[in-house]
Amino acid sequence: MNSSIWNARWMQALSPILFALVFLGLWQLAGWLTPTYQLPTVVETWNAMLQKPWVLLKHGLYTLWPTLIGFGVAIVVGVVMGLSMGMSKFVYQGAYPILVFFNALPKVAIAPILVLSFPSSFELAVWMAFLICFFPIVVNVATSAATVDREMEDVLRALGAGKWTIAWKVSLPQATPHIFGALKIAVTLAFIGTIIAEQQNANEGLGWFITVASANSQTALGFAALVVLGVESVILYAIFAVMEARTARWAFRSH
Amino acid sequence: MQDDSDKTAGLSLQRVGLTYPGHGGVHALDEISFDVPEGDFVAVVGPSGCGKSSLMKLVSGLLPPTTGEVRNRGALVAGPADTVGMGFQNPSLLPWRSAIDNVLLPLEVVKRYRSELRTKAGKAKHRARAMHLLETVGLQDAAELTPAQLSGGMRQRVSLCRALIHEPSVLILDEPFGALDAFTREDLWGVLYRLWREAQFTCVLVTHDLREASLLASKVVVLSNRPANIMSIETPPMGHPRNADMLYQPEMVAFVRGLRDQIGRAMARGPAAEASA
Repeated sequence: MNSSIWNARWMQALSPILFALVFLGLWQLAGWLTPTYQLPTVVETWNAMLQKPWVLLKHGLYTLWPTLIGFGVAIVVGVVMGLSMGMSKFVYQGAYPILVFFNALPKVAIAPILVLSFPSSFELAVWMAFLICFFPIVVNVATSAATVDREMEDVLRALGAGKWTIAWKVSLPQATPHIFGALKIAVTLAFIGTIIAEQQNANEGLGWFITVASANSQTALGFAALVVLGVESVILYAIFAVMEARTARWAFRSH
Repeated sequence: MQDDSDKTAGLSLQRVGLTYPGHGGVHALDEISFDVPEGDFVAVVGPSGCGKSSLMKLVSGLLPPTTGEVRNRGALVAGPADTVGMGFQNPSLLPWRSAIDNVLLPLEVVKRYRSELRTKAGKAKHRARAMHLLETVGLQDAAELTPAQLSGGMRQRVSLCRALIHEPSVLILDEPFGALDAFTREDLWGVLYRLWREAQFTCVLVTHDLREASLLASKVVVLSNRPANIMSIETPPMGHPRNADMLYQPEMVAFVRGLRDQIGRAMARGPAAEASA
């Protein structure tokens, strides 16, 4: 079966495109069979995008900024906190239960309360994006920073290296691929935070746009907004996936 | 501390004892005293779990002794000092660095080198030194390879170079060749011996391998079961320089045999024997 056409190299390269076409075909078919307000077809969604490209782009950018800011703050706070947790058992033991508690809280439940603290929709979106992607970053950094080879540590300690030197020379580079791996996941989560916030209290952004489209039964427009959101999210995911693969090259190298 | 040190005094352990703190703290070392003259090579052998590795931590300053004191060149060892180089069974190289960058790692940590590395000339000078070390251990063509691309023996050679790049006065090796196959191990005995003859650092080698100890060291310290005491200090029958063929000469065979008998007696007496009885 090895020589079958499905295993050919060009076929494997083509397979994602084939699957996408099949998916779009099925969608189109299902769209034909259902009323537009329930499920628009691919063509109807495409037309909706062409109808209001600039509006969609504008709201797409409104959603992008708070997501990136919340995500950026989560990176800085998460990496610093994760490193300190990884380096000190005391901090690890103390901070972990609190982190677990806040992670276990469904973020959707926090949004209506945070509205009171942050009446500005932008601020609320930043906070939600931060809250939702902070935890996976901290945990990944903390666990990979905590697993420093004992003998490696002894080699450096015997030379007079302090904790921060060891963190800088060993823990951080060792954790880098895991950090990017965590960021890859976290950035898509950050969008969830922003969208929740925008559906809660905003008059801009894709979250708000989708809510309004839905209220007016403009399903095709809602789908168009989803596509924009998906594209943004995938692009950011891809950026971090590439960074992860680049920094982790050593981890996959073998002789 | 370095200025008033006596560069001819070597390493000296005086009634060194160690009990790990905490409930029912383990009494690891009882009272160990021995001297290693400057530039000499001493091997420490003993039953498994007798506290050999703990002893090395005391010598390197990673652990303070409970009683007694360790002196290096006359100066009290009160904490980690950059005059010591260490090597373990696990080469523990950083997988994201090339061989030569792994060798250079200690220079990025030790104070007196750190400033030199900031200039281009300093960097080039130390890179050349690292390259020379790698040449000495036969790795001139592997300098830019990463650990994953090296064999176990090659990694251990890199680890030896890393232990020596900052020109320590004492090299401490804890079972450095324990995980290697027999041929590679014999090969590395030669590498270590050449390095030691060339740089004349004081060397302390902890090992399970009695042939290794007898072939390389000027003195072999035999430890008892835990809590470790010195059972005897033996002198191999061959002078320096040595080569691997000497291992097969009758007086050397008899010497190794004698060590084995001593350790066998120590194990029969110790807690390991009680547990199995």
